[in-house]
This record gives sequence, structure tokens and C-alpha cells, in this order.
Amino acid sequence: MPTGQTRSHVSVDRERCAGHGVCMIYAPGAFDLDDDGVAVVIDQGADAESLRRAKDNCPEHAITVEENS
Amino acid sequence: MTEIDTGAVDVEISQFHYGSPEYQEDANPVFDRIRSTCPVAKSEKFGGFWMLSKYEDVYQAYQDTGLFSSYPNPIPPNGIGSDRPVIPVEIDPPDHGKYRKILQPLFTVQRLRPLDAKIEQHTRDLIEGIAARGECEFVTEFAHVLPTRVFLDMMGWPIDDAPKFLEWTEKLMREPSSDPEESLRIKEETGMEVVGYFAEELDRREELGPSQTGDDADFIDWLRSASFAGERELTQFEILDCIFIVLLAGLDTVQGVLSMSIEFLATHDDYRKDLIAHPEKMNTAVEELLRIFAPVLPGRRLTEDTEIRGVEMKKDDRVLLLMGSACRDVDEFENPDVVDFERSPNRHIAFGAGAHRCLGAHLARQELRIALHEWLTRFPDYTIKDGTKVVHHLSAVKGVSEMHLDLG
Repeated sequence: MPTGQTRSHVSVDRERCAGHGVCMIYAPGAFDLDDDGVAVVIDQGADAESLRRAKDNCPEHAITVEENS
Repeated sequence: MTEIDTGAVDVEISQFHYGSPEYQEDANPVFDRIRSTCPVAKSEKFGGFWMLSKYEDVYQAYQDTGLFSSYPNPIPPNGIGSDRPVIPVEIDPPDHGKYRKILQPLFTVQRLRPLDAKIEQHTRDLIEGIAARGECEFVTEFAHVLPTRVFLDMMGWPIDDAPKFLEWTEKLMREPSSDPEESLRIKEETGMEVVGYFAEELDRREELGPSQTGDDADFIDWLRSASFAGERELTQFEILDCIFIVLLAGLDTVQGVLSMSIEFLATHDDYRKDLIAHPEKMNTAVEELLRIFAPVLPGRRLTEDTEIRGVEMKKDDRVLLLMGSACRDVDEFENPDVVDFERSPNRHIAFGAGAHRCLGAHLARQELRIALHEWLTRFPDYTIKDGTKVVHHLSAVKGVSEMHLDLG
């Protein structure tokens, strides 16, 4: 699989997210927490590997990453 | 129909409660046995309660707030706020969400950011105070003091009051007497003193006039100016409860995980050296330490009859969530007994999950990251002091009672 060129689209399910903020640890700069304490995506261009790690580590399974090659 | 094993014939399981002397040092062996032999177990203590040991079951209990009521929480009751539900920990939806909406903005990463510099400063001050002697008792001299000072900073109260708070919280979190009734009495009395301090502060604010609002409001003014679901202001009781829970929830938890982490790093040279050489691993290391030392054992109450893994339970049955067990469940974590500072995925639930997820998680993480970093930088070769033994305790929160360190 080619690396570096994979474009991903990442989204957070606001209903599931409980604001752990774990995504900010695994994909620094890609997520932030809004005033309701819910994760929001602030950089869709973050690298695919860290986005995948954020998704894998989310305790609420709230993150979806769609990879479009 | 075959009877499902809930541990009835295993005395250690059927008589389990976290206050027993035999589990103060380490309850993991009995948790492991529960998880592998009877994942839904029953203790006969305190009128009987269920224990959930699997990650999936504990996780579901957190998510299903309709079936698993948070009131009352501790098993057995601990004498703190037991006459009414503690806000927001013991409040169920829909009211829980209304309190949470008020409290949430006080604990956002952005709002807490200015505290980082203060946590760093306190950490360094405490370290400098300790360094000259070459040794310390970590729990009293560091792990208990740091979160207490951070709490006072958060409230905007003078650090000079720290000794008073240390004395109060020591009584509230430990068993101040060997006689349970006397212990409860001392705790209740101490609780009154603490609430008295808070109430005086609120009265003082009232005299000063209307509260600041919005971004200008500090913690207390934020609560004073808050609206409960747009319907009414918070009562003084509610505000006092909120302050009280922030004090208690952030204290023995941080103290426990920090002390157990410092103990782990003292006794595992390879991990300590790795973390010193690779400070970039700190964030994921803290997550792993939280997983392995997940300190809280919360309780729930069933709102209706249900069945978990074929075990039938009744409405109003109490359920203890064995977090320390769930976070070491092989069905969720590969090689769960191996500590891996870069573990991924690591969906630990040391802060709980769902609606009641620990509000102070970001603050706790910052305290742990900063304290561990500063400590390792200043004392890279610290060890457990020769001839001493680390003493642990287990109750609704697991931790360390005494740990003498040689600072190297």
C-alpha cells in the first residue's frame, strides 16, 4: 500500500464522544475539544497513521477514518 | 439449566470486599481469578453485591446509565454525602447532563492550560524542598501535597491554607480510627469543617457583590452565576457539593496513580531509563500507567431486573465495577500484564466512560505528566529506600500509604 499519499477523511460522532481527549494524544494537532468537551477535527490533513492511532485508541469508538486513495 | 458459577464456593470471592486487610497490598490476584473463572461474581458482603470484571461488561455498565444508576455509588457507603446524591457523580440522567453542562467548561483543556505553569512551579518547589535531605516519604511530602495545592490554585484560595486541607483530606481519605463507627464520626465531623470553609468563602463572595460571569468568572463565580438548564440558579448546597467533589475526586486518585507510578519506575530501571531517554513517550506512558494502576472501584445500582453473561440480577441489586480488572482483560488488551509505554491501541477506562467520564481527566493527566517529568529530571537514579517496604491500600480508590525513597 502506498504511504504518504493516502488521503483520509476523519470524523467524530458527537453522540459517542465523552471528551476523553485521547485523540489529542495520538494525533496531536488534528483534534481539539470544543466548549462542550466534545472532540472536533481541526486538521483533516494530519497524517493517516496518527489519525488511525487516534481512532484505535478512542475509548468511546467515536472516531471514523475513511481512507480514499 | 446449569447453574452459572458466580464464585459461591470460592470463599475469597464470595467474601470479597475491598476493605479486607488481605487485599490492601494487592487485589489483582483475586481480580484475575474472578475474571478467568467467574467473570460475573457475587460477594455476600454488605447484603450482597455483584462484581463485573470483564472490560466489555464494565464498559457497558458505564454506557447504560438507564440500567446502571450511579446512586448510591460506594459499596459500602463511605459516610461522605451519603444522605443525598453527590453532584454530579451520583446523579442520573437527565439531571446529570444539566449539572455536567455547568461543570464541563471548567475542565476544558483550554481553561486548564494556565494551571500547567502552576503545576510545574509546585512540583519544582516540592522537589527543591525535598532534595537537600537526599530522601523522602513520597506520599506525605509530594503525592498528597501536589493535588491539594493544585485544587487551591483552581479555587483561587491561598496556598497557605494547604496544611489545613492536607489534614482534613488525610482524615477523609484514610480510616482515622480502627473503630469503624468512630472513623465515620471523625469523617463526618471533618466533612463539616471542610464545607464550613467553603461556605465562609461563598458568604464572603456574596458580600463582595454579584459574581463575575463568562470568561471572567473563576471557578466559584462560574458556579454562582450558572443556570441549571436555564431554569434556576444553583443552590448553595449544590455549589458546596460541586466544590467538595472536585477536592475529593482529584486527590486520592492522583495521589494513588502518581505514587504507584513512581514506585513502578523506582523498581523497573529499564522503564525509568527509557522514559528519561525518550521524554516524547511521556503521554502514552501516562496512559499505560493509568491502565495498569486504574485506581477507582465505582459502584452502581440496577434500576430493573437484568441478565449479564447468563447471571440473573434483580432490580436494586448493587454492582461493583472492577476497573483494575477490566483494564487488564486479555479480550481487550494484548499481553495485558506487560507494561508497554507505547501501547496502542490502549482504550483503558481508568477515567470511566460515557456520561460520567471523569471531568478532571485532563487535569489529572497534566499533573501526572508534569510531576513524573520533573521528578525523573531531578532524580534520575532514585530508588526505594533500603530496608523499607512500600505500603499500599485499597478502598474505593487504590493507592500507596507510605513509600520511602532514596533520591540517589
